[in-house]
Amino acid sequence: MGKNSLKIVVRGCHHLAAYRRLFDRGEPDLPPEIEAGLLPCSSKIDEPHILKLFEHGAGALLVLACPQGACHLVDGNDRAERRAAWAAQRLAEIGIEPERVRFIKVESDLEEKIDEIIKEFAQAVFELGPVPSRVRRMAGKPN
Amino acid sequence: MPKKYHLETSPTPARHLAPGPSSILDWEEGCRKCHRCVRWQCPYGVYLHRDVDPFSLADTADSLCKHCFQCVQSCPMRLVSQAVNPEYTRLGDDYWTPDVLSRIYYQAETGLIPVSGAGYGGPFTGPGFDAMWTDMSEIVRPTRDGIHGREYISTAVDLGRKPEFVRIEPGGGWSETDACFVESPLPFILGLPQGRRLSPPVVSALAGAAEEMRAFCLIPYKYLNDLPKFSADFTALHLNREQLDLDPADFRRFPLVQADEADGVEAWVKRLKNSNPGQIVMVRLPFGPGVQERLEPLIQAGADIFHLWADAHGRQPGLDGPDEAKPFLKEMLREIHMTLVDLGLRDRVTLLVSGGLALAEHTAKAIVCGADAVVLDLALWAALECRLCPDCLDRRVCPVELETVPLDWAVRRLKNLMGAWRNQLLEVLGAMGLREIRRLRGEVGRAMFFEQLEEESFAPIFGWRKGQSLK
Amino acid sequence: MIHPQVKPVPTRYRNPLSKFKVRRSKACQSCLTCVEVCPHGVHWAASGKPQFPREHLCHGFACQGQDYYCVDRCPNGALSVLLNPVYELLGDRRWTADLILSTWHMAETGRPPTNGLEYKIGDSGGGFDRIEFVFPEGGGLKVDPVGVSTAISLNRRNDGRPRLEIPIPVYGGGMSYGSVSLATMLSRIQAFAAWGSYCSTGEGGFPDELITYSDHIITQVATGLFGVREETIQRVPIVEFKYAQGAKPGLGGHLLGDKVTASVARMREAVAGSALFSPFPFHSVYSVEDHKKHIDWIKQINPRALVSVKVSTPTDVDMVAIGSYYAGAHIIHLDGSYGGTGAAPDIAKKNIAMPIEYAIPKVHRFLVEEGVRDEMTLIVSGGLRTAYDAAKAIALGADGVVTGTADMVALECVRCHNCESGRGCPRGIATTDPQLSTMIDRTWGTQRIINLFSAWREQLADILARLGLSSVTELVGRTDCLRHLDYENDLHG
Repeated sequence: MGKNSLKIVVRGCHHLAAYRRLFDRGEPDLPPEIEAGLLPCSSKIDEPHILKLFEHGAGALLVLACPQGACHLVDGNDRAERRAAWAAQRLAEIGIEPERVRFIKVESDLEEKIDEIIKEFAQAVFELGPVPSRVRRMAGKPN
Repeated sequence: MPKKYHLETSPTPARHLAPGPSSILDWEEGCRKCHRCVRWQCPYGVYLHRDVDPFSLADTADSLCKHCFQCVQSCPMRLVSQAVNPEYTRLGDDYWTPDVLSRIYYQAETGLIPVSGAGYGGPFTGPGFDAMWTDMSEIVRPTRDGIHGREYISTAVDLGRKPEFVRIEPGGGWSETDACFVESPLPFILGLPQGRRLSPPVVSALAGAAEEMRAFCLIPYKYLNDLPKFSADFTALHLNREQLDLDPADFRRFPLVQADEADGVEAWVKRLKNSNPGQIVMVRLPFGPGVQERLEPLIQAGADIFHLWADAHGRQPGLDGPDEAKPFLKEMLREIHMTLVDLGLRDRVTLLVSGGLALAEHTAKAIVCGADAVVLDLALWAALECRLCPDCLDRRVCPVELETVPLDWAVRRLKNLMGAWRNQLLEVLGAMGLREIRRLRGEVGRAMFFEQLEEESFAPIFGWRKGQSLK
Repeated sequence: MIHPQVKPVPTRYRNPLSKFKVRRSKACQSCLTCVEVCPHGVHWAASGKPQFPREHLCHGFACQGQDYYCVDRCPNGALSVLLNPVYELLGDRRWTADLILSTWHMAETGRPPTNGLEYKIGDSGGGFDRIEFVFPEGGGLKVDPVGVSTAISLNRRNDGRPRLEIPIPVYGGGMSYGSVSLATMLSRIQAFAAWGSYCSTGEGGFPDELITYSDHIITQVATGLFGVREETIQRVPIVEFKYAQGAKPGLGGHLLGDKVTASVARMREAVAGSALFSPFPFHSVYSVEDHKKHIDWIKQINPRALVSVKVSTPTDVDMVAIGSYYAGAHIIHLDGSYGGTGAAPDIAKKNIAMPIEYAIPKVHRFLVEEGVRDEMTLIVSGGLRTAYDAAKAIALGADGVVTGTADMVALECVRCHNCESGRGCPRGIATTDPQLSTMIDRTWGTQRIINLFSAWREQLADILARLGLSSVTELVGRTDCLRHLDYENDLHG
């Protein structure tokens, strides 16, 4: 991963049917900078994990969660939302724009538009550019 | 005492982290920060070594966890849970399942036979090879193959045309007839899969591994220049249609040459036999209707080996629709084997099969059904960590960087897998009381088929199977 | 005989594993409506506050729409019921999550579960899982289950040796010291002894701690002859020859180096840390005559012992059975391919020899035809999981069954298949690691297994009563009571 290249990490709950379908034929058909994966629940991701993603070269993180009230673990998506917000704050403190972390509960009317949502996010991140490496290194250091 | 064959294995860790079946959900909200946190009591130290893998950005705990549920059942605040890991269930497909792939990864890493505790947990029977069991000998009978230890069981096979008789010369000596074969210490030939990106480092690894094991690899002509250094002694060359016109003298150094069956291939076989006496000629044909009729003329033309191929799921190639509706390799192979037996030609040729060979037992079962040996392809890719992505040819990036495999690492991984598979064949042969794998060929009497067992045991009790009664 | 008493024995872990999770949010006002309303005892309170719900008693979504559904009755909407994600990870096709959880329920309470958990069949798609009992019209009880006998005789030959009987048609299979901990071994042996039945030592020798139970022990003579001495044969009522074991037929026993601890090595007169392989076959037995010599040898050393011959299931399993009859065995024990403990190469467990369901009718029919069926006790094993598997095995032609895995599941095995990883079982069952093997308390383990077989006995009696049979011996070979879901089943009018 070159210093100037941009890696956009997308992680979505596998219970989101439309997101899951993107993986039917292998890799989702998305721009090359996007690295998408499946989670057993959006609450899989926690704050230390998010910070480590940036330390390891991610330039942005998009978390796609189930709609409000539809989480298979009842409030996993609420927990994930709080954690994403906390992580974004922490990143802001070291100079990484908080817009690089986005969390979305994908309501049913938005489901078919999932790949648009992803591409919109990617576009917004492109405009921010890559994260300078000296800033990224600070993401790995707690406090 | 003949020198015993030895296949050296050496632990060769993976280059990329493979997902495990479970994913840990470790919630911290409400954590009491117990003095002896259950996570540190994990018998496998999963949490102690937990990290985010820099390459895949996955939680390493998901690859190390052995789902014993100790943490789940001990946390006083019930904060630890686990769920099915969707990155695991995504691997492979319905035939090359995540479990099959994980087994191959394990064997390629350790060179060991998969040994697990507790009884078998899979389905009672299944399609394809799963509908077959191998027999064993309760008390090894001396009249069968003699008493011997495992180390004396041979997995060697002959590839090519063996002598059916010897001619006694007038002077008292003897000469062989038009025999033309080589011995391989393993019943595996290392080949290349279809539908996967092929890179020179991987092809080199196949050739390198074959040479070290003194077995054979099957390499298409176009890769010859890419192979840095390899021994032609262990290479079977594959020619495509255009290359059939090449001057046979150019590849005389290869002990085996293969071409796909097509119009004009009989003439090519004859030409080759004339130009390169002693070279073993292989013809590759897909399983399918009418293939039996093609064999005899090719044998008369001089073909020594038939390589019959099935698709990646062991089914007849070129058909649409669900797998269950397509003929499977073991039935098609038995038919062809018996046709050749009935024609009195079976011992004049070698039968190789490929397609859908994912487990060591598939080799044994294929040989029971009539093959002399097998050509492996996708299993070798899996040994190099291949995830069998369905969109391999369209992908931008290989998730396991196959295009940059280090040669030494790849050769060791391939040898580990072959070593583990060979050891499993020894287990199966030992259980039967057989001292060599050649004697397993066509030995359906040493196997038990689902349909046969159902009929013997259940038909007298339950009558006709549904859908089969003659109404 | 008076059956041993059932006593409640909950999980030895802090949190039970359950199919459903019941979550209570901060909206809870401690009104305790849920405690009043739940008919299953899931909700409970202490000091006026609701405690962690007893999730393993919850009936889950089946309560939806009922007037006692706690989720709807909570005035503050604080409760949620969800499928436990762990449930989807638990078990495999043979031992499904439901079968594991229901076995745990039976081990805890002595009764089959009533919360909808499947406790009769698994998901293997063949064999026992596609066979059902056909109960006569109405399916009601034709006889009083209280009067039904589930006892079988182990010596049906008129040879003057003790006519041993067991009150349930089950005894414990061999799981050797070394492959399982002493606590596991003792729990099993004490439980089978409490039931008036027997349990095999496995091939790892006869630890001193077992001596008090000698009257209920089966000494196993296996090909490695580990720990086999005259005393160990003389002190027991039954001696078992292990020719092969279903999980790895044609291969000897195998204990990986890490599991050969100092005490295991001492017991087996071997070297700690070195893997142990038992040869296959017995290197003194190559014919039926040799086999008879072996059996005669045992019978001479112990004039009162019954002899059991344990074999696996090759194509000619019927010939092996008749050979054992002629050699003088009392019990022929068939071990099918799908069972197993300890270490077995996966290729062997799956492929070598036939599943027990095929072997049972084959051997039963053959022995009947040879006219010797009434003189032999046919015992079968190989992954039998439930009372229903046992009953089906008997209906197919067996006299009784042997269990192994079922006992371990009662001790809270989760079928993670990691018995052989390094130190062994992370749940303390199949290990002799000094630390891990302390995870099980033997009193706890004993009662768990006693409870399990009480539940099995109850189910067997129920099946027999519904079929109008007053003894389990009447069920032997009654294939007319069975139907196979993939067959026409029209042979019996």
